[in-house]
Amino acid sequence: MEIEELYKEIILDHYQNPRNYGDLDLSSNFYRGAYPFCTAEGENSLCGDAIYLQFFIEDGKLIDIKFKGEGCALSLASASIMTEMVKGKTLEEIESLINKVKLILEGKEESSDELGDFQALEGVKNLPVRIKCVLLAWTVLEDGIRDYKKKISP
Amino acid sequence: MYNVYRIREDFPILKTTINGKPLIYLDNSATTQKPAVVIDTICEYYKQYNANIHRSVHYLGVKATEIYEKVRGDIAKFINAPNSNCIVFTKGATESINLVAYGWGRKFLKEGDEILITLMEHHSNIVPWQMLSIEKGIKIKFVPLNDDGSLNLTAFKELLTERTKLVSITHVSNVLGIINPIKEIIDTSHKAGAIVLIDGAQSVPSIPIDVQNLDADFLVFSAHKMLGPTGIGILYGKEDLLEEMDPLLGGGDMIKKVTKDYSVWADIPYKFEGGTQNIAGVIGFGKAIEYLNNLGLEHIYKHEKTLVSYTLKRLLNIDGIKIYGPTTENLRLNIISFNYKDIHPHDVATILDREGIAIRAGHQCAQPLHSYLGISASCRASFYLYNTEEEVDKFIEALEKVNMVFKNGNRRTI
Ligand SMILES: Cc1ncc(COP(=O)(O)O)c(C=O)c1O
Repeated sequence: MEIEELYKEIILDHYQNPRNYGDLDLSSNFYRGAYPFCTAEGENSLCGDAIYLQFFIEDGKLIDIKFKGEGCALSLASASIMTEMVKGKTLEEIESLINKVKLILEGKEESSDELGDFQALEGVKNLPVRIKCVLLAWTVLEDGIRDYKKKISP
Repeated sequence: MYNVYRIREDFPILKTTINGKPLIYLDNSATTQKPAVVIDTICEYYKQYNANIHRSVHYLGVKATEIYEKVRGDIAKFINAPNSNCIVFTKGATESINLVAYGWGRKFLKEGDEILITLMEHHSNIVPWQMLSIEKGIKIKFVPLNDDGSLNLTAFKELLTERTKLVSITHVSNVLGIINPIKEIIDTSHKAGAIVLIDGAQSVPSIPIDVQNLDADFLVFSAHKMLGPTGIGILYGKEDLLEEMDPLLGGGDMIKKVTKDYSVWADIPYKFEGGTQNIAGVIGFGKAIEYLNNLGLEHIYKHEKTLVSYTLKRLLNIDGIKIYGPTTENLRLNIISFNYKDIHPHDVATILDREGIAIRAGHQCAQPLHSYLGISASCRASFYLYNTEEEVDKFIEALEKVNMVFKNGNRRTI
């Protein structure tokens, strides 16, 4: 594998111009009725990568999400791509997407078009030490959704 | 005459290729490569005289014991210890520090006592003291650094009080490569009534050390960072200190006598070596010491200094390189930590790896130092006796490649 296959144009673009970066505007009318406001965070202690997510869920759908973080190009690009992919999806859809991402990185499944920009990250499965970088944002969201579910039906 | 090309021939691994490129190994502070003589010596032990030590009267047992104990003597000479009773075999620098924390600290430290360490310590010289402080209510104080990363000696003297019982400090920082003035630190600490542990994990491989001249109370180091195998390390301690210390592991080999009600511990150093030891490790370490002695540490030291000053010069010419610690070579040993633009160290290391170049990326087991520097991670290139200027040139070229992959761009997070 050539290094450019790992650091593809698309990945560098997400890394250098991250989508949905920053904080949600909590004063916006858009979120009225959406409850609760969710946050989740996680880090890779080995690398010092850290991802912080804010999101809103309404009627079982993730209606908006933002992230902040620190880390390598792969982890931040993955977070940026993730926020674009999950926005507007139901929690079930998101959970199955997270599972799919894990299977792809474990080399157990091929990626497909429905995975959009994430396909560009598939090459990481050949670099085991970096898989956790790509997975970080996804596992943080997974934890966030689990916490949300506990909160609404304890 | 120090001939690095001739020396390289002794290291089988240096002939490997990684991703089709010749290996350039610049992660020597993590662990060094091993010369064939060390590898062969370990094989020889297993093939020709494998036996347990100190226990058997048969030929193999006697031979293994003889060689094992000869290595202890060689190591004593290597650091000019007064005799081989002061040399305890452990599994590494980490275990050696823990042995002092529990064998000495747990026995003699009381609530309100203080231990002085520094902001540039490796986690192995922080965490054992924190564990002990929970148990004993002792206080840990950190000596701060100057702007160039060197130790703030004025602050050190202020922090050193009659409550300070132990100063535990690294000789060479595994991140900044800074060589600390340990002679001055030991003298000052002794005047204040504190004993001193020197973490020599990074210095003993390259700097000739004389524990008697330094008057060090404890010195710890690891074989694997100086051509030897993993799983073996040394605790040097002054005889009277070792005598009064408690062992950590009870069991076979560390006793004189065992009854149903009580046991009598063996003399030093054996009372600290409970259980079957890493015999192959010790024997391999002995060969590594012999190899280093043949080359001469002062030549190795000079070689590393030359490489570091060459690398510093080349790195400083690259736009966007931030070097941590002093940028003059006189304060440094074989280590340079840096960041390149805002590119994450893991991305730098992955791209260099594709070029066959091994560097370290991360917090390098020194998180307090990284927080102090205001970063979460850094890249580290570290050299040893077999590295060459040509390798440094390739490393510098590869950094240019990193820049190309990232297309000169910076991150925008608005
Ligand atoms: C300064 C320093 N001290 C202690 C250690 C711990 O050595 P070991 O992991 O061999 O016990 C290291 C290893 O990286 C080190 O660099």
